[in-house]
Amino acid sequence: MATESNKITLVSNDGAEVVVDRNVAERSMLIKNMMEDLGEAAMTQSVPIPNVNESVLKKVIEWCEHHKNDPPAAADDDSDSRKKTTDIEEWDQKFMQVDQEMLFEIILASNYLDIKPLLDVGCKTVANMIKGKSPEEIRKTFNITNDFTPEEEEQIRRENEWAEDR
Amino acid sequence: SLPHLPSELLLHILTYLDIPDLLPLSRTSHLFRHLTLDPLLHSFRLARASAILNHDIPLRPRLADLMNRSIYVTRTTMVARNLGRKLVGIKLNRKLGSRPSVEELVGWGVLPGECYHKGGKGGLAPGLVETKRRVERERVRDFLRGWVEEWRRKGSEIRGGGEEKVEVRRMARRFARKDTKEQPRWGRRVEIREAPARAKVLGLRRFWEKVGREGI
Repeated sequence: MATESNKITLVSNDGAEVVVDRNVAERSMLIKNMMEDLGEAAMTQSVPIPNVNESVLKKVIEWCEHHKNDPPAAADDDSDSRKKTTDIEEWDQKFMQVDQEMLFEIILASNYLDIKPLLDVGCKTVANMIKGKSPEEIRKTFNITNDFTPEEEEQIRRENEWAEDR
Repeated sequence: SLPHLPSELLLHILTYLDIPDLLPLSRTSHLFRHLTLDPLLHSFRLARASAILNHDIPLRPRLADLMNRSIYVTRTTMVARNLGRKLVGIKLNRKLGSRPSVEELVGWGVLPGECYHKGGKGGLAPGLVETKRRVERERVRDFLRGWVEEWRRKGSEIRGGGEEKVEVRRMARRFARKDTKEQPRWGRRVEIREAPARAKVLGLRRFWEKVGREGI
């Protein structure tokens, strides 16, 4: 492992170079695994991130900086599924106060870079936007076009009747 | 936008939702209907529910605790409660039935006579009787005050001097002293002080009657 240089350079798909600390970049399992595979070579060359543009990459790195000292997520399956609430810690909530396109870009980038905690925060944010809304409100929020025929809609409404009026 | 995310990410988002939110989502479009009906999503949802239940059910308070804090009410407690209420009801009915009638109360002098009218109807409420009496008393007082004023005027006409006024003021003060014991029960205090009280009026009346009889 190289110790003299603890910085690596990431290159976004629009050609911008971003220099980050190695431990920050290693919040991304993709980069971490790659570094382990490549060893010294990864430190000297810049790493292309072809799916992510500069503004999103900077945003993702901002999150990684803030969370660089987080303990690794517990692998315990039982407690993991039990903790699957949509509670988001305050800093992350503020971090996620971006427009929808940026939010989806962050989710895509964290999925690509394999940053599970960030992906979870992003998905929770979207889930919270869906919660408690009517179908029409959800469509409006996310710009979803209604591609049901009136007959289909009626049928689904009837199928869902059991869960209504609770 | 949201529908353009890959399905696996959308499914990941859906794992954070439960039935009440999945159903409205399933009605938005074909894509989301397809995703919300994903069998893996639901088996995951059920596994999560069972994990939550396994964790939370042992944390429930014991039944005995709930009964002690009367949160859980048993059938026996309910029956006992109803019996207690019925008992109070019976007692109340009996006691209320043995209350003296208005006629009896008037007979004993507890209520004024106007409260009872023969034939049952037309009796006045005690509060109204009180008001009526107050009005009557004030009318008498007004009349006496007018009467005293008249006599005072006549007296000063006869005397035609200031020394008489001193006498009257002294008399008034003497009678007023007696009057202070009696607290006014109605009207404003200022008014009461201005108006000569019954005793004062009577005293003045006696004084002036004496003056009238015996001359100056």
